Formats: sequence, structure tokens, C-alpha cells
Amino acid sequence: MSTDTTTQTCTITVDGVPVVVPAGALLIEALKMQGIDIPNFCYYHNLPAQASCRMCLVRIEKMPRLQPSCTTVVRDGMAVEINTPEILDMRRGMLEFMLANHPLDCPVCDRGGECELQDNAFKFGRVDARFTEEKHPAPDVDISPFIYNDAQRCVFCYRCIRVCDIWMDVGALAKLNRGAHETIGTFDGWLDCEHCGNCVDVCPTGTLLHTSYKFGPRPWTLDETETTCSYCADGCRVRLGSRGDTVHRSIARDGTGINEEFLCVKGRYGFGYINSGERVTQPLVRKNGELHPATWDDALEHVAKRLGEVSKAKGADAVAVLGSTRITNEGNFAVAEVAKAIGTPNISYEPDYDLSTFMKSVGGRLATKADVLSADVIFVIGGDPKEDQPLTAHHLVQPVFKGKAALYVASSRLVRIRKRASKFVHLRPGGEAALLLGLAGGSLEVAAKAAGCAPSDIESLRSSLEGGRKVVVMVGSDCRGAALEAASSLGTLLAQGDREVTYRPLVFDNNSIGAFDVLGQGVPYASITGSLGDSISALYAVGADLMDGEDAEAVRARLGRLDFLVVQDLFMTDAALLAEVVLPASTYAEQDGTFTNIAGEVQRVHKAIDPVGSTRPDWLIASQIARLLGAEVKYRGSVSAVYRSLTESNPAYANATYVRMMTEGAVQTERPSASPDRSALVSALTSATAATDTTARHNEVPTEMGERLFHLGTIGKYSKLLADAFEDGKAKGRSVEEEAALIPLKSV
Amino acid sequence: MAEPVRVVSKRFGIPDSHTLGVYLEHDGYVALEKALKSMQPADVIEEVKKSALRGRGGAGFPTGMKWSFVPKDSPKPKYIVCNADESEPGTFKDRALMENDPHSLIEGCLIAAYALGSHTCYIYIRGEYGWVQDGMDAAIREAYEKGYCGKNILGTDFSCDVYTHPGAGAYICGEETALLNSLEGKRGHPRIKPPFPAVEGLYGCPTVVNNVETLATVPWIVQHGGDAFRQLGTEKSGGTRLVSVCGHVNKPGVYEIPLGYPMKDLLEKECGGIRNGNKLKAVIPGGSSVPIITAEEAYSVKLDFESIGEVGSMLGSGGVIVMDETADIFESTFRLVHFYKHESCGWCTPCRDGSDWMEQLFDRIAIGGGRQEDLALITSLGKNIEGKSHCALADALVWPITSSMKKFPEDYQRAIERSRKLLHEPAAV
Ligand SMILES: Cc1cc2nc3c(=O)[nH]c(=O)nc-3n(C[C@H](O)[C@H](O)[C@H](O)COP(=O)(O)O)c2cc1C
Ligand code: SF4
Ligand code: SF4
Ligand code: SF4
Ligand code: SF4
Ligand code: FES
Repeated sequence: MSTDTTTQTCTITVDGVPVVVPAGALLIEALKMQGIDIPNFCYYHNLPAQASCRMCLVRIEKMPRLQPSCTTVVRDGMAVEINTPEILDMRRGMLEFMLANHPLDCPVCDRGGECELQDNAFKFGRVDARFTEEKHPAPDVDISPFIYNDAQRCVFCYRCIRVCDIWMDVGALAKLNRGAHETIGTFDGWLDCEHCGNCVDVCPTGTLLHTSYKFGPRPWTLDETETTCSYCADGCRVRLGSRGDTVHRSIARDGTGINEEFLCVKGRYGFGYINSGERVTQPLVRKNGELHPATWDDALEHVAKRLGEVSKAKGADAVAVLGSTRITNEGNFAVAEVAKAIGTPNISYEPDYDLSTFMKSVGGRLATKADVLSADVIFVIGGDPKEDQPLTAHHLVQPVFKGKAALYVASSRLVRIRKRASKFVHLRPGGEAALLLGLAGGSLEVAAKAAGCAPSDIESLRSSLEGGRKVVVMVGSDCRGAALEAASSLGTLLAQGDREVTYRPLVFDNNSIGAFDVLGQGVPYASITGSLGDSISALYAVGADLMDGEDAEAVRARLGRLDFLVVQDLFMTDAALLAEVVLPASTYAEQDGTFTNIAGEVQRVHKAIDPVGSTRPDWLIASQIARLLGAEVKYRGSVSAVYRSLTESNPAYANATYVRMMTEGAVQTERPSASPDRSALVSALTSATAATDTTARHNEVPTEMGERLFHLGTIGKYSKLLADAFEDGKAKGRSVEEEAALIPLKSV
Repeated sequence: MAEPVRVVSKRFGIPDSHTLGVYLEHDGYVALEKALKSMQPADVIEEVKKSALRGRGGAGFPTGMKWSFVPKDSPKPKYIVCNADESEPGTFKDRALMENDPHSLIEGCLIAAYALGSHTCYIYIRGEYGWVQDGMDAAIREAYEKGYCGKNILGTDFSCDVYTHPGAGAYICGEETALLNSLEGKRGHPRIKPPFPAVEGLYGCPTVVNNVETLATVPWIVQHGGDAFRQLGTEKSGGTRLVSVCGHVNKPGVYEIPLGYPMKDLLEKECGGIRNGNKLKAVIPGGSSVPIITAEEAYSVKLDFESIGEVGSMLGSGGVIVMDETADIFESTFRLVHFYKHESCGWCTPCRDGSDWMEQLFDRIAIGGGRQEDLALITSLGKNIEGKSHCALADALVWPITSSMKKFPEDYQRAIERSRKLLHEPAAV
């Protein structure tokens, strides 16, 4: 576990040389800061100490035995030896033991070239092999559709087990058997878990490996590109490994992003859609009722001409434009330029969360990772990060495990995150507003009755929240209307006190916040879709899943009544099948740009491979259309120029430049916090409480592992590995009963 | 020499010594009453310090000092854990104690709990000792019925519960921190120290872990005073202790001896000499984990912590393994290597992989195919294991090997030669 760096220092000597290090640091970390690497396996910077591999032993003056540098805390005047014959011998000996039972099959190991065991053996190992006895063979086996286990290569550092216990809070891995016969595995040989694959990436050897990369290209032949995950709003940094125009893997092993080495199942295994054979790879234009391949010039000119015609015949507001929570900020910005060029106010996107209400009332900064990790009170209302925002869930349990923060959860669903809560308040459906009214000091009896909980629940929750000094409020999408307004300014509702409250809207899509920032919520999405074929006669839809809802048939009918439909997407969606023109877009892996994450931080998307087929990035296609429509588009073929225009037009983004992102990674947008009117909030809550249906029964069905986490969405469906695994049921989460039976992890 | 004073074994051999009635007739619970009614907890610790009692579980750590490490002002509950896992080859004294005198252990636990402000004692009993646990449970029930355990003991405001818990069959669970993990329902792996159990033990709370005999000795110390106990032994090794003698003697068994007692007397007087009038070859004086000594050393050494250290060994757990001239030290060491390999918990590299390699080497020498260089390899592997592991089990693997190679090189040489023959001309052997 990394120690907090303090400003105080102390001096130790390393092989006689004095070195100044932070007081209270772990020796191995203190030395690392000085650029001195102590070889290690079981040490991992954000996991509790293990001291089992014994690779990091050093000699410390006055101590009879060699000491592990991964558990030793530096003391002023400590004399340490790290490079003496004794230590070099010890390392040679330790590696010899680790390799004794190792199959020595590096030439066919997928980890070869980026294996810590291999690296250390090269640096510190013996040249000769003294072990001539028998090895204990263990054939490699699949333990999930995503992971296989080559048990004989293991060095028993238990990083995998700790990661599953502590990062994931899942606890699916265990050590089997004893002594020389032990292996890492699962009790019934198969993993029912969150399938994040983090256990694989932290493995320092080729023991746990990704099936998706089995006998894949040697790692050193891959081009590696750091970019941002395209699935959820947490915005993990991923490193795409590609060769030619194929993406082979998505990892986070270098740990440079806000997620460090963490990824979830989608971010790690859901890259298949990029090179899916089902991508639309060339522009299509409908002729005689059929879609036919066309050149870009023809297709774009056709689009511009038809949009112009409709606008001229029926007025600019007969044309609607839809952007997306999935595409880059630059893409949405260029899409908005098309609307401007036409002169239509009808621009929107399909929101996954009522951000307009949230942003209007949010009473403080959006909570960053640092806020979550340093919080003393975390309150989650109406959402389940465990299923919907995996990185958020990972971050928020860390201070809880360390005993530094208390988690409180209120929800009408038996959400999975409640497992770690000091207190869980089970609300009746729609009970959020009533609970918030109680927290705001309204009548406890009234609030409790409508919320479906005991008055004492509300009272104790209120005093717990008011006791916090650094409070993070996570507002889930079950909060609507008055409840959403109140939750997003909870700080104003609690008794005054010396505390900092930050907020996190539990949005879903990777660029939800960016889409809100760039496209705004001028015209509600529903009012556009509700007018298709009536007041709206032409639609330019970008990355919009028009027919994903229950009203798919009604939308189909409306789309049929349009004069002109142009769809820009990755796949032949149901809407694309009806379009007059289909424009093939590139995925995030094929372009540069930015996404804005759940904390309102802008992060770079970097191009890993050339556009597949003749696809083009959304920003490029849209700006070409805008130009053909006569707009004066300043940027020509430069995504950074698009982004510059965005920063000029949106003050929140003014300081979030590409240059800063290059050095800082994630740069938070600066948005004014609202100054909500307390009495208005309370009266809105009062009426919402009065309107609560107090006959609504509590939902007693616990959320299953994967219930939403494994819900794939369009891009996931086209990622074969993911889709196959979940469709045929080979990949499952642990059942509710099994999860309930687990011994809860004590603080670490 | 006069008949030595018996402290922990004084009730051994009395009919029904395991029952409360007989226990009470022989000074039973006198010390508990004295402690509760006339001593402050600090006084009890002081007496134990004065007694120079050192732990009987193996490491020989001064008991009074261990007790004084428990933070007095901690708001957390404190626990007394009795280590009754007795799994060390050659050691069977705790079993004799629990079978013959279970109440002395209960009384010792209660006094320790009183001294340390604890209200809960766990006795963690080796899983294979099922009947011993049954006996302990019966004694605990009796004690509860008569008000020696539970609420308001002997009418005072001191309350304390005593529980037994069966081990699940691993030698490593005798190591105190692995024991605590096991008691918590986790896998028995030793923990990282510091923190030591006295500060962060069971469920993260201050905990004293003591051996059965250590705790069972406490009532006598409280009754007769720490000085009286210390005077039974030597200045630095106070009192008496149990030894369990096994192997090639005429009368193997459990004996109580004052510390500083000559090993020669133990073998000849108490144990009736070496079987069949054979010559003594070697003794492992403190359970299988300690270095072996030669007959010559055994005949001159005294059984106290200091003297035994001078011949390069330890008193350990008091298990004395005696081997006469018919023993082959290579073979006997191989048995121990097998044991430690089997019991290695696998947590750390040198022990997990080193013990396996070591066993395979011994095995190859034993069945044929041994090479002269193997002896150097054994020494080298031992060096790579010793002092580098996470707990002391790995040292316990190496010490018997290195000491026996040093003291009985001819047995190893013979093993190599025999092994060569086995490979090349099996029929001749
Ligand atoms: C591998 C190993 C096994 C041990 N087994 C036992 C045991 O079976 N019984 C015991 O009392 N102590 C055993 N110990 C010693 C304990 O760790 C601990 O020192 C002892 O219980 C402390 O009690 P004491 O101070 O009263 O001796 C063992 C130690 C090690 C390293
Ligand atoms: S893939 Fe499964 S076993 Fe591995 S860390 Fe994730 S949840 Fe645990
Ligand atoms: S599988 Fe990998 S991470 Fe897990 S213990 Fe083995 S070497 Fe370590
Ligand atoms: S948590 Fe979200 S951002 Fe991170 S890998 Fe998973 S889907 Fe991608
Ligand atoms: S020395 Fe052996 S028994 Fe002790 S922790 Fe290491 S592997 Fe386990
Ligand atoms: S890194 Fe310190 S013991 Fe493994």
C-alpha cells in the first residue's frame, strides 16, 4: 500500500551513499522515487503488503535477518545495503527457486517480452540451471471465456487475488492446494465474476492471460496508442495495441490514467467492434430503392443538395440534426456547425441522464478521482456505480476499505454497492424526493412515510452526512425532477457546516457530459423525434440509435415519412437501413479528438489505426457537409483546429487545451456552480413528496452481478468476444445467493 | 539429586485428575481466587516477569515481557489465545497436560485474561486431537457450572469466557499469526510482523498467544510467587518444564524437569537409558525444528536455554528425539525434510520452492542417482532458504539439514555412495 507522501524527509544511506527520502515511506517506494529499483513481484503500489516473494530483501544495519523492502518503513539514519554480493546472491537464489518448477516456455508465452519474471531473470538470474529434478506439470486451462490460466508459470505473488478482492471487491480467485502444489484458481474451475481481466494485467508472469490475445502478436511488434475508453463515462485511459490496421488488445498496464491499471470488462474486452466485419466501410446512396456504394464526393454532395432543398422548400426548421453521447466533442461540434449552416434550431441528441437539471442546480464542483479518494463521507443516491460506473465503484470502495471514508447508500433498488455501505436506506420506488426532504430538515414522519423508510433512518443518515468534512454526493439517474435538483445541491440542504461537497452525476455514456456541453439541451430530443415526418422533413442523424426504444415501430413509421434521412454511423443500424444516404464513420480508435468524462474532465482520444475501409471521422464528415452548405468553416482537415474553435465558444473548455492534456492527462472543465435557492428546493421537494405514490411497494429483488454491467449496447454487440461470451451464457456474474454468502472483506 | 519439584505435572497420575473435584482437592483454582481477590492485574504481570518464565511453544520468549506489550489503554477488546496446535514432530507434552490436567490450563487462561483485561479466551487445539478437545470442553463445562468461568467469576466483577476451536490440520497453524488467521476463518498463512499480535492480533485487536504449558504454569507462579518458580531453574531460565522424550530410550514419555537439568540424567534416570543397551548416536533436543546434537554433546549439555545454545541447538518445544547407533542420520533427516515440504504453507518463495527441491534431492539420493555434488547443492540451497523466508518454518527445514551434515558427514557420504550403487548395480545393495 503506498504511504502518503509527507513533506517531512529523513536521510538514509544506501550502500553508503546518503539519500534524502520522505519520512514514513516504504523503503521500496522511497528508493523508487530516487530512481533506484528494487526487484520485486508481490509488491504492488496500491495493494496491501504481502512480503511473500522475498525478491526485494535488503540488508538493514543491526537487523539479524534480511528484510523485505516492501514492508520496511524508512527511519532516519537507517543504513541499507542493496547491491552487495550477499543481496545479489539472494536474488539469484530466489529467481532460481521461482524458475525451478517453471516450464521455461517463454518462446510460446504471450507475456514474453513484457514479463517481470523474464526481465528479472535476465537482470539478476543465474546462467546455469542446477535444477534437474521433476517439475509438477499443470496444463493451461480456460477459466472463463476471457481468461486462461497457465498455472505452472506462477510465482505466487497473489497480486491477482488481492486485485480481485480489493480493486474489484469480487473475491473470485483463490489459492488452491498447499506448498509446492499450490495453484491460483477458482474453486469450481470456472470464473463467475465481473470479468474485468484486471487479475490478468497485474500478473507479473504469463500465468493468467487473455484468451483474446492467445498466441497474439509479440508485444514488441505492437504499436501502442494511449487513448480513452469508448464505453462508459468514467473515461478510463486505455492503451490500444495494434498491428497494421487491426487492434489486438486494450490494456492499461502502464497505469498512467485516472484509472491507473484498472479497466472493466467492456473497456478491456470490448474492442472487437473496431475491426468487426459488419462495419459500414463506404458511403451508400439509395438509387431505385436500393442502397448502392458511392464515392465520398457524390455522397456528400447528395446530402448537401437534399438538405438544402428541404430547407428551401419547407424552411430551415424542417431540418433536424442529431449528435451523440458516443462521439467525440469535435464530432459533435462539427455536427452543430451543420445545423448552423442550415440555420435550424432543431439540434439535439439522445440524453442518458437529465444533465440540464443537474447542471442548473449543481451546488459545487464535479467530484474528481482525487475528491473520491480523499472523501470522508460518500453518499450514493438512486444509482449503482457497481453496475454502471465500474471505475467510480472501484475508486469509492478504496477509502471505505481503508476505513477512511464511510459510504451511505439510498436507493429504491437493492443495488450492489450497498454491500459496502455503513448504512443503506431502502426507498420505495420514487421515494428519493421524500428522503431528501427529510435530509433537508422537513418533517421526519412525513418524509419517512413517503420515502418508505423509518424516521430514524433519515435522522441517522442526516447526522452522518452532516458529520462529513469532505463529502462526495453521487447522484444516480433514479433521481428525477425535484429529487435531482435537490440531490445535486445537497450541500445547501444540510445544516450549515465547515465541509466541502462535490458532486458526481452518474451518467452512462462515454461522452454524455461532452455532448451536453457541446450540443446543449436547447430542443428536447423527444420533441424532435416526436415531430419527425410532421414538422420535420429532413434528418441528419449522427451516431444516434433512433430505434433502440420501445417505440421503435412508431419511429420507423415516422422515419418513413421523412423527405430525406441521412444516417452517419459505424454499423447498418435499423435507421441506416431506411436512410437515403449512409455515411460510414470511423470509431474512436481511428481518430483524434476528446471525450469529457463523468468528472467533467476532458481527455484525449488518439488515433491508433488508420480509418477502416473508407470511413472518416465524424468531425471531418460533418465539417465537409457544413462547408458544402456554404458555411465558412475555418478548419480544414485539422481536428485540433476544431477543438480550438470549441474552446473559444465554450468558456468551460477555455483552459482545457490539448497541450495541457498532453502533460496532465485529464483536465477538468471549469463551470460555474449554481447557487440554488434553498427554500425553492424545499418547496419543490415538499410538493414532490406529497405527490409520491405511497402505495408503491419496495422492490425486493437484489441486483445481480452483471445485470447492467454486462449490458453491451451497440458497440458491445458488435464485439464478438463479448457478445458471444454473454450470449451463450459462458460468462456470468456470481449469483446473488453466492455473493451474499461471501465473508465480507474487513478493512485493509 | 533430590526428587525435583513438580509444577505442571503435579496432578499427573492422580486418579480422575481431569475432573474439577480432584482438581479442587489439589490446589485447584486457588491461584485464580488469589489473583482476583488480592492482586491487581499489574501485580500478576509483575509476578510472571519475576518468574523468568519463558514461552514453552518453541521460541522461548519471556512471557511477562510479552504480556507487558499489550497496550493497556486500547479501547478494543483483548484476547487470550492458547496455542494447543502441538504439531511439531517429537512433541506431545501439551496433549499430556490437557488430558491429565485440563483445569490448570483453564485457570491459567483466566488468570492471564484477568492480568491483561481480556474477557475472551480461545484454545486452538490441533485438529487431530479430537478427544483432547472433547476433554477440554467437558472441563470447561464443569468450570462454567461451578462459576469458575463465565459471568462474575467467584463472585467478583471479573467475567470471562473460554472456548475451544479445532485446527484444520496444518502444522503452520501452530505459528501464532497463522493460527490467528485460521481462528478468524481464513487460510492459515503467517502474517507480516510487525504489527505483533500483542498490538494487532485476533480481529485486529490486542492478543496474547501462549502455549498450553506456558499458561498452565501461571497458576503455580501466582500461588507460590515468581521468585519461587525462578529458583527452581537457573537464573535466566526460570522454573521447570515438560519434555516429551521419544525414540530409542527404554521409557519414552513426558517428564517434568527443572531447567538446567543434565540431559544425561534425563536419558539415563528418567528414561531408563538407551534401548537394548545400544550406544547413543544423536539427540534432537527441542522438537524436529532444532539442530541435531551428537551423543557427546548430549551427555555434557544441560537443559536450559543458555547451555543448549552453546552446542548450537535450542530447547524449542521440549520434544527430545533420541537416536541410537542404528539410526541413519541421512534417512532420519530425509523424513524431516519430507515433513517440512509437506507442511510448507506455500506463502513465500524460498520455503515453497526450496523445500520441494530439497525433498526431491534427498529422494533422488535415497532411491539412486545421487551425485557427490548434490551435497554442495544441498548446502547452497539451504543457504538460499535460511533467514530469507516469511516465517520460521523454512529455517526449521534448513537447521536439521545443515546441523546433521556438519555433525554426521559420514552418514551423508555413505548415502551418496549407496545411491551411486543403487543406480549402477541395484542388485548389489
Ligand atoms: C512453524 C511453526 C509452528 C509452531 N507450532 C507451534 C505449536 O504447535 N504450539 C505452540 O505452542 N507454538 C508453536 N509455534 C510457536 C508460536 O509461533 C508461538 O511462538 C508460541 O505459540 C508462543 O507461545 P509461548 O510464548 O507461550 O511459547 C510454532 C512456530 C512456528 C514458526
Ligand atoms: S476478471 Fe474476474 S477474477 Fe479477475 S479480477 Fe476481474 S472479477 Fe476478479
Ligand atoms: S497468477 Fe500471476 S498474479 Fe497471480 S499469483 Fe501467479 S504470478 Fe502472481
Ligand atoms: S469503467 Fe468505463 S471507462 Fe473504464 S474501462 Fe469500463 S467502460 Fe471503459
Ligand atoms: S516460510 Fe514456509 S511456512 Fe512460513 S510463510 Fe513461508 S512458505 Fe509459509
Ligand atoms: S516485493 Fe517484497 S517480498 Fe515480494
